[in-house]
Amino acid sequence: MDGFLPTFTRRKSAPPTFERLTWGKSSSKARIPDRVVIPLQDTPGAPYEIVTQVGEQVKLGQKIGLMGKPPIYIRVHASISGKVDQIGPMPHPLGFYAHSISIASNGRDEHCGFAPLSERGFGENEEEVFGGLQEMGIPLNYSLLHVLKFKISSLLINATEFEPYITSKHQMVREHSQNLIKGLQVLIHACSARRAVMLLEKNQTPLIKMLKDAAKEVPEVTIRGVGRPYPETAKALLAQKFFSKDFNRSKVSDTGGIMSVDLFSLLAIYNAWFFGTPFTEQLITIAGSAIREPQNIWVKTGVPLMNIIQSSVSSLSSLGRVTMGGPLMGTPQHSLGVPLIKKAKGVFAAVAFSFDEHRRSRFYKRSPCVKCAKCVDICPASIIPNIIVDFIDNKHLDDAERWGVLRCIECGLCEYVCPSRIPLLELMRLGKVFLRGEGCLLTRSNLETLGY
Amino acid sequence: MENRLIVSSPPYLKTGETAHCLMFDVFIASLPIVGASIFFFGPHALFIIFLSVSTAMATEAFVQILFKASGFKFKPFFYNFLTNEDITVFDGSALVTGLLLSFTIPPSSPFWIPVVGAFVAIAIGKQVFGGIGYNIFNPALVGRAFLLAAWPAQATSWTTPISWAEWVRSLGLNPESWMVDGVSTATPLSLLSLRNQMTPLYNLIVGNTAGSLGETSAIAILLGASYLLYKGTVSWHIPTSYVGSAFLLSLLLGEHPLFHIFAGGLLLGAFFMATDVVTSPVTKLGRVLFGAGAGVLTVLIRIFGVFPEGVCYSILIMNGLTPLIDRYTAHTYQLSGEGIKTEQGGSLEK
Repeated sequence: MDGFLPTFTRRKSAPPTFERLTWGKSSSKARIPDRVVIPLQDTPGAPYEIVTQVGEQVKLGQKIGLMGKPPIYIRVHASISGKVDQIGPMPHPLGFYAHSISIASNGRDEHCGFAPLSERGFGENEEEVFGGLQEMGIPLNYSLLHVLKFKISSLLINATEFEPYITSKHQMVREHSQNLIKGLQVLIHACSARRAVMLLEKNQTPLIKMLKDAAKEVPEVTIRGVGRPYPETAKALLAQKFFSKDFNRSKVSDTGGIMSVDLFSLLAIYNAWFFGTPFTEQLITIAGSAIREPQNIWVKTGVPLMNIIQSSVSSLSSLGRVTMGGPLMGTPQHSLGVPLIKKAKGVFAAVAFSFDEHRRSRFYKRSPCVKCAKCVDICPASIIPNIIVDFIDNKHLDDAERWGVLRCIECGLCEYVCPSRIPLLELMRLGKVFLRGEGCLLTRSNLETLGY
Repeated sequence: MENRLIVSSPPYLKTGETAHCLMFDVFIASLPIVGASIFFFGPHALFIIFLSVSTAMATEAFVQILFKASGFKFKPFFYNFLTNEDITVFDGSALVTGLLLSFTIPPSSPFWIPVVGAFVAIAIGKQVFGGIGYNIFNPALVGRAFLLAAWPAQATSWTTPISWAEWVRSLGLNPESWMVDGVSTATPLSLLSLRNQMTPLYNLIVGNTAGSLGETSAIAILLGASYLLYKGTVSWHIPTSYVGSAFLLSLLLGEHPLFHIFAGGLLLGAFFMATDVVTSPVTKLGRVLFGAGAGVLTVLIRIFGVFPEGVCYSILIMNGLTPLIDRYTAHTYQLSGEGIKTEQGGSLEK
């Protein structure tokens, strides 16, 4: 009866934010790492191009490669000054070997001269502006831009923090609200968008006020307070909610005109446009039970996880789980040598304590679904996780697709509330792989050899 | 790296709630009803509740030892009983089933009525389908329906609430004097349907009428229900639509709507039986339809049917319709053949 005691507490369905851990601390700059690993691929087999060679001395901001294939590409820059010591397949945080460039630091933070994009003749038309942003290595949805022929009518910026423990977006708004709005202005001007909606939690009144003050002279920008935070994968959902478009039909015209922009891209656009600095630095939160003092820090892109958490972890030997991203949607890492990618918002490190399945009480193991419908009530995508997972378990994949398994945004809230401890998110992902597994790391044939 | 990291699927946070928290929530919520039944029907009520609960738990353990726990060894019996993972007697579901079954039993029934009822509820209502989570019908109501069909005389012999002062005065050393002598009478619903006689609303709300153990006192039921709603164990959909539809239909048919809500087991059914998580739909619209259907069926059986009471059968019928309701209220999507799936969940055509 050891599960009896939690009966007496009343739980909210929304996870706690743990905001206080980093509350009131200003962000700091991490010291220059001795080595960075810059991946050139973000999916296995993606095209890339290298414009450097082993042994070359590079400076901060120097172009060393290309991710993707023109016209849809992102320029890759060296994020520290030093010598290129290795080029080849190296572990990527998403779990495969990606072609990467490793640079050993020389300790001096030299950079090649930067000229603002606006003075370099990039401002003629929108294609040139986005070409300039691509050259600066800013991750935007370029494939969408090309599909839509640069016709973007609305921008959507999700500045809510969905992940517990991670506060880097709020920290960025707190410290750089003016610059964010200036970067947004550049983007609005570039794609001649009519509307830009920025979402923040309702209870973050000081941040909303800061942004509203900054955006006073930009009539296109609306700052909206929302009741609950939304994950970054909920783009179509948010577009449906805030621009009243129907996304359930599979037509390009329905998704048309709305681009979801990352908050960090806005500051990168500001830096690129007004100072010419490429995207080589990013703000992340490091938190978790293994971290002595959770904080927000500016780190170079491509810095290995070891360098980030080395100075703040209490003891490396007790480290149990390190995830890129927060504890709800993050990607678990098998090694501390993997680099930080540009989309990462934080690193969550937990100590190894009672993770073993066989040491748990039988009441904390997976048990049959009691159909309490808590997952249905909390699901942001309005699907029915428990029944879909039942279909996937029994290999009724057509039924699973008909009930909307591909609509799952993988936020992990269903598993967070599940009292029967069913690995709902894992099974949903398995179902997606079964249905559309051709281009995935785990292909269908792989899974069959593994015994699924 | 020298230290090995654990790679497992997110999320790494949990609410900490387990499935048997839900069951113990129902147990806590039913404590006021237990108190009310002892207050109105005397110590014999406690005896019936105890018999029902203990039989339910014993049946569950027995069935699981025989059929489910394949490697069960009898030699150190208690050690194996407590440590075997297939024996889930202590998850509280058998406790709640026994408790809810005892609430539907008349207070003056002989001792074997709750024993047989609890055995049928667990063995045929639950374990035959595969245990917790797989049953189609509410086990407590299955037991109740079985009793009503097999021994209609014993299952519908009602007595008036006892007078504690008289009972204490008559107590003696002789065990026969410990028994309670209730006066035979009819429930408010039978009084209405047979003799067209209304029971005062005040008696119905307080619980000072004849009826099953747990269904008479509306105050106790609402007290327990408010706890369930506060904890979020049950959602508001089913009780609201159940009570609301019963109210509206009885108003339309020219009956006294408040009488129909407070008389009989409608409140107990709406808050404790119909909201059983396993046998009710999962979609929100489905839950509302489920409650509305049960409310309509209850009033129809009460007014046009042979039985004066219809809560038990209405909920059982709606339990049987639950998979259908789920299927027709869920939003289904078309199978998309070709076309590239985007990360946004929509799909882009080439």
